[in-house]
Amino acid sequence: MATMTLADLSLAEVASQLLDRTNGRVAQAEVYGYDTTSTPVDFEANRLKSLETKDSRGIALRVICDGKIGLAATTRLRTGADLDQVVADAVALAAFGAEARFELPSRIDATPVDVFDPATEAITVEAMVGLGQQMIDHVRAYDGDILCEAGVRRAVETTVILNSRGGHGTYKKSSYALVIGGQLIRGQDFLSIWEYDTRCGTDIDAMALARAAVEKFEIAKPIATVRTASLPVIFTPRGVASVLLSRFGVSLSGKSVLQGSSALSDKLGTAVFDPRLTITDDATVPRVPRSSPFDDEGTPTRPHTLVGNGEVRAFYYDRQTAGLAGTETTGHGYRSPESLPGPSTSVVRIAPGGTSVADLVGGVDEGLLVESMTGTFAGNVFSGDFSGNVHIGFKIEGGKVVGRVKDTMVAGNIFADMKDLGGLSDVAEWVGGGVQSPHILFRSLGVSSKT
Amino acid sequence: MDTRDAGDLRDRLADALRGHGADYAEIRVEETDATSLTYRGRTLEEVGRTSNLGGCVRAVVNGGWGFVSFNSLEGLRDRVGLAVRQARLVGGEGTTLAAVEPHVDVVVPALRRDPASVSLDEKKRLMDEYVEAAWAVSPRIQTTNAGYGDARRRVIFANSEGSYIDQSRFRVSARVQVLARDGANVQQSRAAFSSPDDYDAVVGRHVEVGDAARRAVALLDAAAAPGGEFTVICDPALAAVFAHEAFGHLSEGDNVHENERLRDIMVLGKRFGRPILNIADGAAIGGQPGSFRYDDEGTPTRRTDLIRDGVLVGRLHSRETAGKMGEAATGNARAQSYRHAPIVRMTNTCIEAGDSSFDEMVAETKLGIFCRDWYGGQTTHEQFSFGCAEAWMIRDGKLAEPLRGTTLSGNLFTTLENIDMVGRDFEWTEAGGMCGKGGQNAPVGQGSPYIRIQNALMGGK
Repeated sequence: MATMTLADLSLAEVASQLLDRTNGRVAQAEVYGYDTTSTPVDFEANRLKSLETKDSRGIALRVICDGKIGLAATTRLRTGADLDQVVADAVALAAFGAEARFELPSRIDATPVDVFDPATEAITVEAMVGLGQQMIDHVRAYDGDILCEAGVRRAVETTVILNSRGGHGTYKKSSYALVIGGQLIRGQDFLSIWEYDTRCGTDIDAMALARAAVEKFEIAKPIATVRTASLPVIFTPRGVASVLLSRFGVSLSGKSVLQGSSALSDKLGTAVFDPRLTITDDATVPRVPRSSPFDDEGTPTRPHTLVGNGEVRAFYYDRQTAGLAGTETTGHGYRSPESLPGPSTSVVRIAPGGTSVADLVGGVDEGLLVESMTGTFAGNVFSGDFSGNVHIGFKIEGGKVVGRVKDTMVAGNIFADMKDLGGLSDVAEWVGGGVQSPHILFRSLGVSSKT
Repeated sequence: MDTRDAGDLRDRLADALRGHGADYAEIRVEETDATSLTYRGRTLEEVGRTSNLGGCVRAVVNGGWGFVSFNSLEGLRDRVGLAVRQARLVGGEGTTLAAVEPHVDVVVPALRRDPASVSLDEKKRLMDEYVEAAWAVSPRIQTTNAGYGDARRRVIFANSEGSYIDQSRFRVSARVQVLARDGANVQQSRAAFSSPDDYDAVVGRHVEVGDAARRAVALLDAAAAPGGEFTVICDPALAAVFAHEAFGHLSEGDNVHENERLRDIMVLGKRFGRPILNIADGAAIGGQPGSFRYDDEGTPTRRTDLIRDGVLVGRLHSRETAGKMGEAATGNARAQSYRHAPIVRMTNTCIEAGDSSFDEMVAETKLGIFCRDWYGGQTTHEQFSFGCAEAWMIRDGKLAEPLRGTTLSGNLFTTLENIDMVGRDFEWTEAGGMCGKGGQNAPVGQGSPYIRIQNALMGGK
């Protein structure tokens, strides 16, 4: 008879066996377990390249021993001896760990959040292949010189949290992502355009993405030039998400505030930004992959206003950071299995303003419309500075988009340049699976260009 | 099944791979063990140990690929079957893999001082000292973020052609990021150390940590860098990132092999730079973060010249891209872990030494900027950008006022040609870098002398 291995048990059963092994050895213990299956379908150079099935399962154990925190994680889950090793590691490491300033929750009273769609789990690989091919066919029908790449990716993940104080929770999440784009090389001009969307369900209009990609290729064809000067710049929702949000994330993190590395650490309740700027973080938004009923340490999620009408309203915290700062967790304790929970944003929404995109553009006599930049992650995020090369961006002249710019850089600072904005557009658009933003007009940013 | 228990693992993998009708199939089984210490300010915030076991199968039928990854090593034969079915469903126009002799080998690096032989107590003491060395520099130090890590990674590779390679790698690293603050002005600097084979390489570096803290404090009084076109001198660390972004990615065969227009642009023999420019890459270059003996397809590694005397002479390949382009596999197929199929990427990339000195470069620059140390980079192939940590104006042949870090960008077709001086003092950037591509990260080695670039574009106001 074959011996029972952990591979035959459900994730919840493995988690429970691990928790049982900590009995009497630690003051508090928490098991975080995950079980994921992802099926990416990828097209390269206009054709289907590969089919993949990726299964992963692992657990992490956080313990409090003599008032100190220890952590161990593994994907080596064959027999009980592997679980014993995890307990031994976590307990041994706790001797060196930080002093625990929190208690694990004895209940996880979370309201369910709709993040699982059975349709995502049910969609066939053949259907996914068909969608990818349709998107590519549409873009290639527009211009056969475009070398297309596409992806149709689905993933289903089960998360389990169990702790020694009786708290337990589990949820299943699905995510579905479509991406279509390609590269068009003409002479020494390389143009790369990408459109993408991510949801929990399969309700993404693949052809709308393909049409959007074609539209972007079309408006990007003419090349325009811009001079080195301080000029008004409009960031599209994608531009906001990729360039600006990481600066807000760092500055509003409870951990940066506690350490004093955030420029906003002493600004709670103070108006720092334009009064039209409101930023919320809300993991309860249904059908968005970054949402969840509770965070990775079992704190139920709820909406938080981080910046309200330009005023710094709240910082976001996990349990330990909140304990150190003398405040409460906000349900932002997120983690990778290999590390302790730490504060991280979930679904970030920037409230829309009152101007149409057409009017924002129409009001710019000479400036830029920026969709994406490269190198912006490379700066000093704590200072609020951002600077990078414009990847997809357009020149605005006399209130009209006249062409794509190249060899152009944009630089600014979220604190100095967002005090008085030129305006926010009246529609906030979803970008990927966790950000919603309007277009934002900066009155004046540093624009540098090759002459 | 486990990589520790089985002399018969080789037979089991060979059995699992046999008789599926694939053109080619391979299995990787991977074990990692890692220890990390993470500091928040002066407090040791996190001590963790991670132990992973996982595997993957990759198969190709008619040029279409199937890939399956997993944590449980039960039922390997069925996993191979699934990968082959997937590959068959993809299909294509035939499999063309460059030939590589099957190898049977065990690679275990000789460690000078094994981090596993050092107590956690001692590691913590070392990091406590580094953190204190930073804080002691100035009352304007606001905080530090520091970390120590050591890891062992063992990958067992078997393919349907008879290769069986059991390869282990190690890495130990320590880093201290220092933040200085004056009101809303927050500046940072860092020190980072690493080694593939010696714990002692990260020991005794207190002076360098103190220097990083002094740099962060000095940046508080530096002006923001101006925007526009300048003559720029890059230190070796920044120049190496420049080589990686400006040119390295375009030499990766997967970017070229199915892209006719790019093939025309990246044709061997084409001039990209002045005769003083030489760029090479290779995992066979020892002692760097991207050093290893076999890549993740079992191909022995080598050193590949990419640009010789300013002319494109080579590129980096997997077996597939080499096969399709009629060139030889170069050992550049790398996977972040068993959760990923290997992709073509750089290993240790360097600009080779020239004959100028740093002093000559400065003296021969009327108005320019000297940029030091790096914060990463990014490329869209034609255009690329990279960040520097600190800078100085150069006026009339002399270093002048200090500037804060900034971002530079360039264009493939003009910037390489604009490198007009290459220094004679070659250096590998000690901690190397982490390169992201196709959703996978890989440690890379970066080496260069000082270089001077004409008409480099800087971001700023």
